[in-house]
Amino acid sequence: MRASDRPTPSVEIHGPPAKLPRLLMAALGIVLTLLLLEGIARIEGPTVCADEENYLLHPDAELGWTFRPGLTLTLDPCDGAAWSAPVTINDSGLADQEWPLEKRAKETRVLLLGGQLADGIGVARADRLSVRLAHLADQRRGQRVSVINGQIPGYSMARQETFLEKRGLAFDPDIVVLVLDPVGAHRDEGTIGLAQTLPPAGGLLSSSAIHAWWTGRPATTDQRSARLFPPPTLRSPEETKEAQAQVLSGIRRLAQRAQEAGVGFAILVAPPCPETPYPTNLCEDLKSIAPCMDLGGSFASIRNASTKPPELCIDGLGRWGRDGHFLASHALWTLLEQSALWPQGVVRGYRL
Amino acid sequence: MSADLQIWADTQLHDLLTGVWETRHSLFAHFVFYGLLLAAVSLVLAPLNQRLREWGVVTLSMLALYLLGSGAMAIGALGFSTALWLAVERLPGRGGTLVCWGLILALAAYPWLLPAELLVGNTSQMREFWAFASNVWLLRCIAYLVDRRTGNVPRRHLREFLLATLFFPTFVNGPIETTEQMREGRNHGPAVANWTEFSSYLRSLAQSSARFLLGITKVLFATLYLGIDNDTIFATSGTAFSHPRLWLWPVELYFTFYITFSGWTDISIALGRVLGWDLIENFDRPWRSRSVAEFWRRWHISFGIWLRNYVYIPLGGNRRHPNLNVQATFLVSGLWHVWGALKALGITGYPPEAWLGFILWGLLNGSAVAAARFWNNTAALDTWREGLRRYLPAVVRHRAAQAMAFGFVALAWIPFFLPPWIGINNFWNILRRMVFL
Repeated sequence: MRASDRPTPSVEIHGPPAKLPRLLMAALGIVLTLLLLEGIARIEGPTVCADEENYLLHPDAELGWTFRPGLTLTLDPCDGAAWSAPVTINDSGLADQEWPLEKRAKETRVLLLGGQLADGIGVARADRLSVRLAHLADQRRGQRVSVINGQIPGYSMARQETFLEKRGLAFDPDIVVLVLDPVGAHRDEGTIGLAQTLPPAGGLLSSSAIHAWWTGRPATTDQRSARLFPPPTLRSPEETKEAQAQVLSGIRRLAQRAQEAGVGFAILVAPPCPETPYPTNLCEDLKSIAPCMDLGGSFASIRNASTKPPELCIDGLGRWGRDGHFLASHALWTLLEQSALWPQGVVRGYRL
Repeated sequence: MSADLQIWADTQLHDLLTGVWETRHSLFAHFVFYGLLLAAVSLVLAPLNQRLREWGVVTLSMLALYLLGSGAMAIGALGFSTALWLAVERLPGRGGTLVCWGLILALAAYPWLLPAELLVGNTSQMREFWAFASNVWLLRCIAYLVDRRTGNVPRRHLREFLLATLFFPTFVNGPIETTEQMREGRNHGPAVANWTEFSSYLRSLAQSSARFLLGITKVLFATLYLGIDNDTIFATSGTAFSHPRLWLWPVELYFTFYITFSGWTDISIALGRVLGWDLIENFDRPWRSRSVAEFWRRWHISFGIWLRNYVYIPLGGNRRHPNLNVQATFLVSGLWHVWGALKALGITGYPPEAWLGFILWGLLNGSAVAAARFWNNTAALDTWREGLRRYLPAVVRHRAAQAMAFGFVALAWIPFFLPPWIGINNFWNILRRMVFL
């Protein structure tokens, strides 16, 4: 190797060192390390195992529950599976960034309603349906599209209606999209408030994010959580029929409420995770209510065409993986385009 | 402030904050966070002697691999580097050289041999990190192997080899320094010997912080504001845009890449200085180049030096068939980029037909360097060169040469940035559209 390759001259290493300056340097290092650790811990949040999901949800007087407002953590399967994803909940209890209530000029807003399937927990933010759909718009040549992720695990149609009424419409959306879980849509209640199993940090460390990071639990002093339990099993065809009727009337009410508010409404039938058979003619019934698209066919064709298993679902999390969100974003854009729900001026870009 | 201006400012601010918010979990953000953290931890090593401090930095580099990648990645990299060093130092003769090159080939071939999940897991960020990092790592390993087998450098301790090959500040985007270059750049760092050095180091910390911030600003600016139309232009072969916009686009590509890449380098150099290493500069105002050959002495300088020392000169350099050597060197450069993309996207996401982008980019640059050599060294063209010198003032000749070199390099970035799912034909279509065909 040629010494002339280096434009800057090297510095001589000095002889026997004095101790004090070095010790002071080490002390400076310790202080800086702690400060940086605290800062990073606040941005990253602790790593929490996916099976401890009770951290995620928080009781809410109006809605029953939302995501825990202000929560930041990294969700990890903790079972050796190779995924982990940051989760940030905004102050409104949505798995999303903060959204001002007032719409900006030349902004089109889409509000996504639904349960946990496509709420984006478990995938990187950039891969989520809400973010992907917004990024599909060509903001240089057309209007800006903002997609508000109002999907909250375990919400029944009744709860989604309440959410739309009490919180969703306040964001002044132009379009509301229901991401319909064809299997779990009849889920209702099934939650209780309970204390966290681990107490929060005390004393000097009570507000330290390092402590939360180290112990793997979110820095929160609020001990209440909302926990979801599986929906009641439908034991007879009558019960199934009744649940379906309940869902159908719920969707009708949602669509009606959206219409009253002058907001477009569409339905995306979302293949469940793990894969479960569901009626394939759902959209036929729902088309009379609102424009509808069933993603089941797209999921199946991708699964059949891929040489290696696509990431349609995240194992054990009951949610879509990256490929599921990707497919859904393109399908949803097309649905809104075909049903002329996009306001004039919204142009699809070539985001690949 | 008028209402329109207020709306515009609000929109810009909102977009900026959203962009920063979205970037905070990216590889870049994690590199910045953990790089800073580990650099701060390195100050704690100040009371140790040089040898222990260097082992400490090796440990911090392993920790960086773990934090940005995975435990398997850290152990794999440490194991491979150690095995290679042992093979280089302990296995003499032709057989030993074969074993060493076998190891290098195994590293180069591992994307085909092992399932991607084994080392890099399933997240795109880990894949991206590993794709960049192992590209840098491979070149450093080859450099040590070649230097030792040709007898150019004395044996270096395992500690120095590990430090040079796995040095975390430069592990993502270089500068690509060899073990010898790292040795030359070593200084006392935080291990100050007296109060004069203490205050001088604090000054250096302040300067490094400024450069670190400059790097962050550059990368964020380029990420949020530049190259936004790339996908649309590639997907439509430029038909969605006006001609002037399309002509400006290669210039935008050039500066997007420069600002992003030099921003990463600023961060790496700043972190390196905090740890006690002066790293070589990777860029020297490349837009001032008067030929493509000069451009490659001003752009990604450490990689240029590596290509010169370990590909171009061993092939014969200027001594025999130089034009062929230039093409071969640029082809190696293209294939090196192909290897990086393969690790990030896998063979399914990055099939052989997609490799053409990088290969074409390499061949275009190689041809331009060969053409310039032909122009400068062909006796039959003396009259033309003399004529230009006589009738055109030096400043005009220089500016024209700069403009031509800039324009050529900018156009050559188009195939470089071609997305793997867009065919090479789109490059030609974009060029045709640019000239109204």
